[in-house]
Order: sequence, then C-alpha cells, then structure tokens
Amino acid sequence: MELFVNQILAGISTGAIYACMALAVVMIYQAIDHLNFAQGEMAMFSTFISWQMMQWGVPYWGAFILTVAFSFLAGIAIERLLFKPLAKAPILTNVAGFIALYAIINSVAGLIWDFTIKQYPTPFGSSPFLGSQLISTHHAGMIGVTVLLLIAESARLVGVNTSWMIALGWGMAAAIGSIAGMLIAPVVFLEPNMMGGVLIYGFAAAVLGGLTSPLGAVVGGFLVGIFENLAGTYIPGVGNELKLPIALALIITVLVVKPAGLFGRPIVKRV
Amino acid sequence: MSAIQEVVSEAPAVEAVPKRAMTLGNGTSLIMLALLIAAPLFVKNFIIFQLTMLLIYGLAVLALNILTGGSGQFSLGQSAFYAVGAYTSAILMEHVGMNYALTLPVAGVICFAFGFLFGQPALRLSGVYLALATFALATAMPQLLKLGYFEQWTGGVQGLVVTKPDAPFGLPMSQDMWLYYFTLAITIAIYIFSVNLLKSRSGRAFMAIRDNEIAASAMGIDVALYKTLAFGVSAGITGVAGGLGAIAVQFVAPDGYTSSSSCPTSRREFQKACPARCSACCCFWSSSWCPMAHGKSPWWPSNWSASSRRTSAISTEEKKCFLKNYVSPRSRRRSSLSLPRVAAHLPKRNTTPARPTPKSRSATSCPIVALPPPTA
Repeated sequence: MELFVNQILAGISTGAIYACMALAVVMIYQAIDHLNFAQGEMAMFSTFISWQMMQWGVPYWGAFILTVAFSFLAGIAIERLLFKPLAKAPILTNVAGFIALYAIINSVAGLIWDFTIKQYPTPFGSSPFLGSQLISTHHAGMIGVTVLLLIAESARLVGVNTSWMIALGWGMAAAIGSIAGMLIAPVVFLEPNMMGGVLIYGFAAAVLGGLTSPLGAVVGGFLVGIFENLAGTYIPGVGNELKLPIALALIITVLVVKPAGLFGRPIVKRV
Repeated sequence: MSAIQEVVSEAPAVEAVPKRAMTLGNGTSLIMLALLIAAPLFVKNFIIFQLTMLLIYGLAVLALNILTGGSGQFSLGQSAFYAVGAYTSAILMEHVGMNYALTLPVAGVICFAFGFLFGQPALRLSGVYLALATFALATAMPQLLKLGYFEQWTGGVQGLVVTKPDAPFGLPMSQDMWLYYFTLAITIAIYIFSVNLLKSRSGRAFMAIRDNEIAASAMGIDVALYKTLAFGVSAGITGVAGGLGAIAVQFVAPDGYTSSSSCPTSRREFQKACPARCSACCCFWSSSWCPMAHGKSPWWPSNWSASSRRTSAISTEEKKCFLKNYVSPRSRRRSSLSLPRVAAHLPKRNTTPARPTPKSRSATSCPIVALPPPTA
C-alpha cells in the first residue's frame, strides 16, 4: 500500500511537468484548432535563452521574467510571420509548417548551443518537500506554478477568433511553454532534445483531458503522470524502457474510445 | 470556439493547377533517366553513396505520396516503418544469413503487415489527430527498438553492423556503384508500380476517399479496406526503402530513426530538407505518367485546397461529375495493376481512350458533396 501511495505522489510530481506542457498545447489549440508540434522545441529554445542570460550574469528571476516576455513576443512574431498566411490553408500545410518549425528550432538550438548536456539551476532547491523523499521542493514548486497558471488562464477572456486573439493565444502559449521548459530543465537536463518525450506526454495529457479545456489539460497531466508511474511499477515488462510506447498507446486509446477527452466538448461535424 | 465544425465550407471552388504544368515532359524524363544511369561512372564513391541515399529517400517520399497525397491520411510516422524495414533487413542478413536481395521483399511484406495493423486504429482518426498518433508512433519507435526483450536480435542500443554486398558475377564495379544500380532498378520498379496503382481502380478509390469520404462510401467503396490498404502499401514501400538504407549505410541503430527523420530525411544527409524538395527529386520521371494524374499533387497547397472546397447543394450534375472523376478513366494509359476486391458498384474500365470533353479540366472544381443516405 505504501508503494502505491508513493507512486501516486511521484506521479503527481512528474505530472506537473506534463500538465504545464499540456496547458500550452491546449492554449494554441483553442486559438487555431491545430496541434502545435513545435511547442516543445519553442519551450526548449526559451529555456536556452534564459540559460544564456544566466551565463551572462543575470540573476535567476530576472532571466525568468525576461525570457517569459521574450517568448510572448516571439510567439506573436511566429504567428504573424509564419502561420497567419496559412490560416486559410488546409490542415496538411499547417502540419507541415509545424514540423518545419520543429526541425528548424531544434537544429538552430543545436547550432548555437551544441548538443552537450548542461546543468540548469532550480529556484526552489532540491531538498525533500515536507520530509517526503519522493517530492522535492522543486517538484512542489512546479505543481504550485501549474495551478497558478491554470487559474490565470481561466480568467482570460476567451473571445471571438479575430486575428489578434490568435496572435495573443500564440504568445501566451509560448510564454507558458517557456515557463514549463524552465521548470522541467532542472529535472531532465538542458539539451536540444530534452523536450521530445515530454511533448508526447503533453499531447497525451491534453488529449486525455480534452483539447478544449485547460482544466482538463492540467488534470490530464497529473493523471498521465500517475498512470505512467503505476504502469511502470505494476505491469511487468514495462519499466523505464517503455515510457513512450505507453504514451502512444494512451493517445490512440483515448482518441479511439473517447475523442473529446474527459472534460472536452464533443465536436459535431455537420455534413 | 464553436463546437460544431463545418465539414463543407462556403468558399468557392478554386481551379486546380493543370496537370501539365507540374510534370516533366517525356523527353526531359528520358534525359533524367539517362543522367541517373550515367552519373556513377563519372563521380567518386562517396558521391555515388549520396546518390543512392537520395534515391532511397525518394522512395520513402513516394510511399508517403501514396498515403497522404493519394488517400489523404496524414502520416508523420514514416520513420517508424523505415526503421522496421531496416531492422528486418539487417537481422535477416546478419542473424539468418539471407541474401541481401531476398531480405527486401521480406522487409516489404513485414512492413505491409505492420502498416495494415496500424491502419486499423487509424481508421477512426483523421486530420490532426491522425498526425498526432503517427507522430507519437515515430517518437516511440526508438524505445521499442531498444527494448531489452529483443536485444539478442536487434543489438540493443548499439545496433547491428551490416556487411555491404559485392557486385555479383565478378562485375568490375565498386560496391557503392553496384548498390546504386541495384537501388535504381528497384526504385524504377516501385515507381512504375505506384503509378499504375494510382491509376487503377484502387487508386481512384483512394482519391475518392481523400476528396470526400462520405460520398465515396455512399458510392460503394469499402472505405475501411482502402484506407488500411493505403497504410499497408505505403508502409511496405517505406520498409523496402529502409532495407536498402540499412544495406547502404551498413549500420542500423535505434537512435538513427527518431521522429526527426520522418520527413523523411536524416541528420547526416539533407539536414531537415523541406518535403517538397524530396518529392521533387522523387518525381524525376513525372511525364504523363505523373502519379497524381488528376492534377492533384500532395505538396502544392493551392492544389490541395481546391479539393476541399465544396458547396452544400446537390444535383444530378454533381453526381455525374463525381462519377466521371472517380469511375471512368481519364488518362489514355491502361493500368495493369489493380488491388483485389474493388467496389462492386464501380463499372468496369473501358479500353477505349477517353474522349476529351470540354469540361475535363474542371474536375477539381466539380462541386462534390456527400450524397444523402439511400432511403429504404
């Protein structure tokens, strides 16, 4: 029983990562009805920028705020320059645009900062949280920030999709993504490929919670974290090695069984 | 954001780019073919190796063409099938000792089965959700390949080394040159196969499904079968490309097949080339044999958008237009290949050349909508 509770707690702490990512994914989905496959890479790039600022001597919270502001503006810029012309184009073109952005940002980050792993500082410290061995203060900080973001996002006015609302959605998604990246980096270590697995889990969490609901994204994130830990512990053969195939199975199952997710609104297709 | 999505949009139909503008002429195609055959005689071995990889990637893009351009299902997961084909070939060559040429059909069949099985859950997904599921497949594949359970076969994280074959019958050419001609022959064969496939009844079924799935199923096409077949065929061709890639590179490892190579490129070679460039190099011989014979090519957005504009009226003219596009052959070439179990309601292909009608270019502006379900 104690193992079960410990795994749940560990699942909640890793789930905070996925919840952050899922929140950014849902934000863009609400704006443009498409999944942004480059979300992870944008978050990674923002994290690298904050790391670079810290290398230049900017203190942590200053770099944090500057990076969030920069990511917001960069998100708006990407939307205006790259995706506004594609607004009327079919899905395939948009998906190709996202994949191109994914590849370009990944390579540019590797070009500028190379592919070696770097240490990234955490603002919350890594001591055990309230005496528990499984949740460090950093994880607790992540959960707190995620919940704060959820509250802030729910208070945003969700208005009609005019084009500046779309740009605003992109900017906020990029900002949330950068916060997620800066929180995740101490755990998975900073390198250009750090977001690959996290992004898939973020998508799984967003799909599970419902792509139209931010609350669903956060709840889905925690659920996915718990599920991952429990599957790793109790299903034989699935250890650390099968994490991504588990996410794949989860995505396909949810999309086939209940495509609207737990909290999402079912989409009605009128023929 | 409305919870109701209009499948039929209000925008007017747009004339597609005519087929002739996007194909190379007969003469140009023959010149390209001659260049491809003559090229290895004048360049160094490493350039020949790069040309071989170019052909292999062109083959993989051809497969993607059948899947996404032909039947309209997005797949970002080609690297997964490529990896399965590569590993199958490598395992058969290294552990079983099979001849390298025989491993390719086996890799193709195994990937066909794998793609067919993956197409089953993909039936219920479309658009960005299918893209997501295939993206997840591509990302998850390296982990599956590294699994400890299979390690004695796959070599785990370190992968397998593959021996490159020598030219047979003692021909005076280097390994690279022999492999290039071998790949060229296979590429031409598969190209002819896919052109014929897309011009056959099965190909027309694919394109009908791409353009309007509900109307296609109302016309009697077995949508489930053709969608999974499209996945299977595309995966099979990608598997053959993967097998050739394994032989050419002489090495297979799980981290060589990450999702960043599902465009399909690899870090070593084209460094994230745009898909249009790859499809351009695989359309070397696009003459009047262009696979997208009806003027719909997958990588041209303006063309693609033409097929997604529909009006919401329905009339006998529209039904006739649908029949004309998807039922009677438009090109003069007879297709020699057709997958079994074609729709029973589609009339047999006539063997006389189709008379060019004045409205033949307006195929893609034909307002096709879902036919109402049959009453009774």
